[in-house]
Amino acid sequence: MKKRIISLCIAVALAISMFAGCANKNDKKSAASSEQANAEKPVDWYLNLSWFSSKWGDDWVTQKIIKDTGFKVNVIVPPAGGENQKLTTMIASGTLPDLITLGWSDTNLNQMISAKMLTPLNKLADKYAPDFYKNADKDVLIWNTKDDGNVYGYNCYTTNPEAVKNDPNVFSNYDMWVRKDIYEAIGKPDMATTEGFLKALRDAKAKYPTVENGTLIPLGVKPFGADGDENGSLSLCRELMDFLAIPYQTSDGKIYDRYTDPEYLRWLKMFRQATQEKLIPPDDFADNGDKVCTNLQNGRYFCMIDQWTDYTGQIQTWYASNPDKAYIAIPGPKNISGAEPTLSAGSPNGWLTTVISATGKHQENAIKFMTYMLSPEATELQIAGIEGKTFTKQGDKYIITQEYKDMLAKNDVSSGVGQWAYFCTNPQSVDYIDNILPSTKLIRDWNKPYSFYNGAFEFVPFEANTPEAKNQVSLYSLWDKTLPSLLHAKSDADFDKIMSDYVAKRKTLGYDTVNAALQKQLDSNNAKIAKFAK
Amino acid sequence: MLVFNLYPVYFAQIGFKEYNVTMGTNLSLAHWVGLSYIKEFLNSPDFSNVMINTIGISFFKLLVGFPIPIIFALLLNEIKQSRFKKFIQTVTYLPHFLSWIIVAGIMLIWLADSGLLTKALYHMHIVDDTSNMLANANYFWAISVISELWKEFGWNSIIYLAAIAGIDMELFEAARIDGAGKFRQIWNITLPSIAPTVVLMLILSISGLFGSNFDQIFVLRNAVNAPASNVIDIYVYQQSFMYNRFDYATAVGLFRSLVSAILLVGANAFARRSTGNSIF
Repeated sequence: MKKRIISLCIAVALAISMFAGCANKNDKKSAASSEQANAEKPVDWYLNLSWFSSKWGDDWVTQKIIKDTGFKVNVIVPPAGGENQKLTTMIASGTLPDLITLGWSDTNLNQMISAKMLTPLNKLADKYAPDFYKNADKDVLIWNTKDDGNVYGYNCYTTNPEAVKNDPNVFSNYDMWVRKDIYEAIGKPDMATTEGFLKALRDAKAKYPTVENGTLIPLGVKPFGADGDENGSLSLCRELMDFLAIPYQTSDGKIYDRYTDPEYLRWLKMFRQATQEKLIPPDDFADNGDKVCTNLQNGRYFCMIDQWTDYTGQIQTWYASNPDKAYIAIPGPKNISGAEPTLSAGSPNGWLTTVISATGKHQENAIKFMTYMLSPEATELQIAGIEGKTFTKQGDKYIITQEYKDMLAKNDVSSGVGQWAYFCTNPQSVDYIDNILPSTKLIRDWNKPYSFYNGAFEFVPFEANTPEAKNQVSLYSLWDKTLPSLLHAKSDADFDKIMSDYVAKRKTLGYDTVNAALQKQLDSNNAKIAKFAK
Repeated sequence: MLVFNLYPVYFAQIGFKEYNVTMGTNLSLAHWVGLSYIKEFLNSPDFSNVMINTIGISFFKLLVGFPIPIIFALLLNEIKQSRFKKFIQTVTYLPHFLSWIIVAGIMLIWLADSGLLTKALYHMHIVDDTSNMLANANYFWAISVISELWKEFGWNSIIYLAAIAGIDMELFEAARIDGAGKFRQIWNITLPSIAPTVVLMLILSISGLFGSNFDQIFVLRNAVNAPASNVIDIYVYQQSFMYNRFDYATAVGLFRSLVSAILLVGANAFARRSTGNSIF
C-alpha cells in the first residue's frame, strides 16, 4: 500500500512537472510569435574569429540594421586562441548555430559539408529568399558550386581580375615598408637587389643601434608558424616569392615548384646571411603576433615584409605620435631580371566563408539576413556607413565627413563601418570613398600596379585521413622545420645541403601524391574561372 | 565517477576507428581500422624526434627534479629557527601557485634578446651572446627542466617534510647519546625512515616519463626550438586541433598511456623486489 502511495505521488509529481514544462514551452512559443509580430528576427551567428570584439547593436551600422530590418543577431565568438576547439565542440555536439563564418580553407568546412550538417544556400534561397540570386555575386556562386550542384557557402572579400587591374579600391595586402627617417638617413638605398637589401639592413643597424623604445630590429617578418603552417613565415615564403614574381603554374598549366626556384633560393641565402649577422634577430623567430604588433607600434622595426592590413591600427598609433618617422612602402625584393612583383590581391576564395547550418533554429531568418547583407544598400552601409553621419554624396562620389575622419584618426571603431563586412560585400561593389588613414595610405598605395589576381592557386585542404591530407601534414611540418634551419645555416654550402635534404625527404613523404591531387584542384579551379562572367 | 572517469573510456575506441568530429558521439558510424594508427605513428617521420624529446625532457626532469626536493626537505628540517624556516618554505612554495602562463610570460621576457636572464647568463659566461635563448633549440631542454624545478621543488618537498615529521624523535636522541653526528643521523635514521615515501614518489615519477608538462611546453615552444620541444602531448594536440585527426591523436594518446602504465607496473615490481617497498 505504502509503495503504491509513493509511486502514485511520483506519478502525480511527474505529470505536474510535465505539464509545467508544456506550459513553459507554450509561453515561449507565444513569446516568440509576439517577437515576430514586433519584427524582431533573431539569428545566431558564430564568427570563428576570437579577436572580434564588436557587439551587435552597439554601433551605428548595426543599430541602423536593427531599425530597418529587425534582425537581432546573437554574435558568438570563440575565446582567445580557441577557434578550432570551439568549432569542433559545436560540430561534435551537433549544436551549430544558424550562421557560421569561418576561413575558406578551414578543414571543418569540408567535413561539415560531407556530413550534411549544412543546408545549401540555393535550397534556402529558392524557398525563402529569391532575392538572394539578385544580390549575390554570380562568380562567387559559380566558384562555390560543389559537385552535387549545391552552393554551401558564400565568401567575403572575393575579387576578380578586372577589379584587381582597374578598381582603385582593390589592393594586395603584401607590402614592404620602412621607417622613413632611417631610410632617408642611410641614403634611400635600393632594396630591390640582394646586395642593396643586405647593405640597407647593415647601415640601418649601424646608424641606429637603438631607437626610441629599445634596440632597432632591422627586419621584421610574420611570426614563424610553429603550428604546422605550410608557410614557415609567410613573409619569407609566399610573399617573398610574389615579390620575386615566381609563377604558380608553368606555361602548360602544371603546378610550378616555387620552393626550389633559383631566384627564391638566391634571396633566401641573402636572408641567411642577414640572420647570421643578427640583422634578422633571433627574437624574430620566437616572437608571436602580439609581440610583433607591440614592436611595430613602438617603431622598433626598420623594415618589414608582411601583410599591412594586419597592422593598420599599430601603424596609425606610431604615425600619430611620430608623423615624420612614418612607415612608408618602398620597392621590395625583385628577381634578377627585374620583373615586376606579382603581389597576391585576392582570389575567388576571398577571406572567410559563411554557411548556414542544417540544425540552426532560424534558417529562414538566416538566409534572409544573408540576402539583406548582400544587398547594395547593406553593402554601402557596411563599407561606407550612414549618409550624413560618416559620408556625404556628391553625384556618385562618396565624401567622408570630418566627424568620421576624426574617429578614424583616433582608432575609434564605434561607428561600426567596416566591422561587419564578413559575409560578402565585395570590396569593389561600392565605389567608395577614400576612408583610408593617411598613415595606411603611405603603405597601401604603392602596391596597386603590382597587384596580381591569385585566381586558381589557392587550394582547399584535403579531407582528414585521406593519404593526401596525411602527406600534406608531414610536408607542412617538414617545411616548418626546414625554413628556420635554412636561415640559421652557417654557410651557403650548409644551406644547399639542407635544401637538397629537404627535396629528398619531401619525395619520401609523398610529395608526388600531394602534388597530383593539387594539380587536380588547379585544373578544376581553372575550369570554374573559365565560366566566370567577367 | 561514472560520468567523468568511466564514460570517457568508452570513447577511447575512437583511436581504433576512422572517426571525424561530425559523427559526434555516434561512434557506430565509424569503421574499425584496428591498430593502423599506432602503426602509422611508429612509422611516422616525426616519431623519433617526438620520442627523444619526450623521454629526454622527462628523464632530466626526473634526474634533477626528484632528488632535489628530498635534499631540500632534509636541509630544511635541520633549521631550528622556526620563523626563518617558515619564511624559506613560503618562498619556495609560492611559484607552485603561479600558472605556467604567468611563469612563461615572465620567462619570455627574461629570456628574450637582452632580457634579464639572458644578460645575467652572458655575463657569467654561460651563454655566448645576448640573443633570445628560447630561439635556440640547444637550450630548450635545460630551460624546461630548470624552470620546472624552480617552480615545483618547494612544493614537492612538502611530502618529504611530512614524512620526516612523522619520525620518532627518540630515535634521534638515542643516536645523539651514542655520539652520532648530524650526517650520521640523516643517513641512518631520517633516510631509512622516509624510504617508503621516496620509493612511492619515484614509482609515480617513473610512470610519468612519457608525459611531459603540456602547459609549460605549449607556452614556451616556438618555430625555432620546435626540434627540441616537440613532445608527445604537443604532437597529439597538433594532430587533433590543427589537422582535425582526432582518431589518430586518440590512438597516439592511448599509446602513451599504455606505455606509462607498463612503466608504472614495472617500476612498482622492481621496487618491491629490490627494496621491499611498493605501492601495490
